[in-house]
Amino acid sequence: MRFFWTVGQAFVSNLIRRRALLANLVVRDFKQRYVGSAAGWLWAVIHPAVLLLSYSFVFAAVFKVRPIPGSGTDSFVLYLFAGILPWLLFQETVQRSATTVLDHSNLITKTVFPSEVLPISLFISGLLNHFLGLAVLLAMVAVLVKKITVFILLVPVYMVLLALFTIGVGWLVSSLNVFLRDTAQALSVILTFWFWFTPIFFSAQSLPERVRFIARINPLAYVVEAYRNCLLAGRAPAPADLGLTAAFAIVSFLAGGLFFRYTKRAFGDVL
Amino acid sequence: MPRFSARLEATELKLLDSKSLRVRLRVRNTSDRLWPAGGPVFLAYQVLDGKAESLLAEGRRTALEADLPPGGEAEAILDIELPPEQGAYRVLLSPVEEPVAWFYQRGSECLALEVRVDSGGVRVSQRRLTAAARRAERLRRALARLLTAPFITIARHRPLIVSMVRRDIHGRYRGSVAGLVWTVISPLLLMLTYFFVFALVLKVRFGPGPEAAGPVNFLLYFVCGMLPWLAFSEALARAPSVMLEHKTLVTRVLFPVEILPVNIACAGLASGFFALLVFLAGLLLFRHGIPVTALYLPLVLLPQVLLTIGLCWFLAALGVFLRDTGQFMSFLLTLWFFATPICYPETALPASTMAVFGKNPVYVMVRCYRAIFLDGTAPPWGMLGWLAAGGLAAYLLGFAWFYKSRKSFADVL
Repeated sequence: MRFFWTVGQAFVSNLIRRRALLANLVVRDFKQRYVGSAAGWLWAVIHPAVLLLSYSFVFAAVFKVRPIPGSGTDSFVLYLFAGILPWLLFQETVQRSATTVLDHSNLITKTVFPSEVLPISLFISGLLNHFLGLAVLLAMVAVLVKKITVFILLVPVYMVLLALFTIGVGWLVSSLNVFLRDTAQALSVILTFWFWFTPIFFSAQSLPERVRFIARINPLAYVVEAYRNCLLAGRAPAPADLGLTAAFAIVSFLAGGLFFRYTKRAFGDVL
Repeated sequence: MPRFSARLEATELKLLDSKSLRVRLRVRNTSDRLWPAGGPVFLAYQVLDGKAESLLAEGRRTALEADLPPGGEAEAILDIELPPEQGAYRVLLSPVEEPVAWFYQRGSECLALEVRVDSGGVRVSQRRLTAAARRAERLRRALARLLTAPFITIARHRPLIVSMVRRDIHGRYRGSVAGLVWTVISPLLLMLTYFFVFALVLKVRFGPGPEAAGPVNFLLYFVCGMLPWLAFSEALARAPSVMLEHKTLVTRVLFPVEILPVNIACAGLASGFFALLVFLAGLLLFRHGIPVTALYLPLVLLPQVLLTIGLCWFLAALGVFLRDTGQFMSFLLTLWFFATPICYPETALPASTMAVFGKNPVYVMVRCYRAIFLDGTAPPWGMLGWLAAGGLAAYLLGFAWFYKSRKSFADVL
């Protein structure tokens, strides 16, 4: 326990000292993607919008899926939107983390560079997109549901938990990819499965009894359900679920962090 | 009266030897300007190949001996040098204004000599070519090329295509364990996921009645719909980057680059074919037989192949110029997959959207495959006809597009 505490403390103080670097990385990433590139903006806005609309078409118009009673809304688009937002943040960060160490191999091999900030900077950069999506969602909720409850204050809590979990996974894959270059490719396949097995299009309650455990062992499922509960239904997540999510997040953060710290020493030899 | 206008007639053709021809010309100035003696308007000729596609040689300019006013006539003698090789040539005789333009390229008529050089000697016939006739001839040639060139290309390079596709498939399935995992396990897992989501969670069923329920029926219909999709989507996903991957072949050596997209399309079809074998085994296992209508498969396959190859040509060329094409395609294919009734029955599509979704070529393929393999009926002929027409159009236009943009590949890559 003592050990974790020391490591955690060192880590947090390290981050605070490196905040200028972190801000720099985020700004640079953001500029690279959006400033001066119409395609970047288009991609960032149109891609999720078209995806959302087409999934809504397939599931609402073709399969006649409706949000289960008590979701706070009848609109499948809203239901899907609220659920897919945390997922997109997770997926984007993890997918981009996989190659980030390789992309910055120059910095890592030539200078003293705290490479552990890379996945964090990616998460923060993705967070900007996330806020944009949340703003659009809240506007839609205000117009369509006409009810925004106090439970919206729980969303930042889940955002922090999601951050811990995502960054932990990001550390794991970014360091794995240095040693196994197939990781990024495998990850895109894994993320596809993960996406489908996360109750984004459906509710965990509508899963057949036999396979419901899939939603129980999936940390993202809790986050997705919590986003929907807080934003649409106006309901607090069960305290037990919140505790479980926090446990998942902290374990992922610690495990990923330790793994990264341990493997980081070998980066110089492999890169 | 136009500035570039003349009328030419050969009054005498004489063979000097097997390589040169003397032409006595009568020239009439039908333009609005005086042609001064000694230039800048000269009489000259160009030697083209027999199909009038490429310029082989540009002849000496012959000056007029005296000023030629508008409406006036003059005589001149041109000695024409023919290429030393045997073959068919076309010699265009026309005035040229230095350094402005050939008259015939600015709408004037010209004189064409069709020359045939073979071991028996030289045969010449003359023909007056107006600008309209030249245009019509070019159009006819272009049209003929548009219709035949894609077929001729593939027929000519068949051995090369076969060997390259074979190598591509071997490389994928035999090369490495990781390759095997990517190409076989990942689509299988993806199908398993869709099975989970659509059959177990959403409880999709194909057709009414108790026999339509149950995972086996879903699986058969789903996999049957996946057969054309696998072949089609794999080819389309790989096509945008195929030229970049074979950069050296495109830029360095003389290589028929137009077969690279064809290879991709064929490799995709091979994947579809392996899946078909698995599907047929499943059909035998669960339904204890394959309907005789499965013999219609070649009729469905032909338009599918044409469409796939045509789109591959189009995307391969586009991918050279727009590097984002690959990314865009993978996005588009995701949408396309869900817009096509593969993991759900076509009856689930809202009737109001059928005007759009009914035109989806993959939808037609899926319908045809399900009809011949599962329902035991002939393919829906009207839809198949539509697919055939669309496939042929994509094939011809795709090749034309590829052929047009091919010249700039080396500059961009």
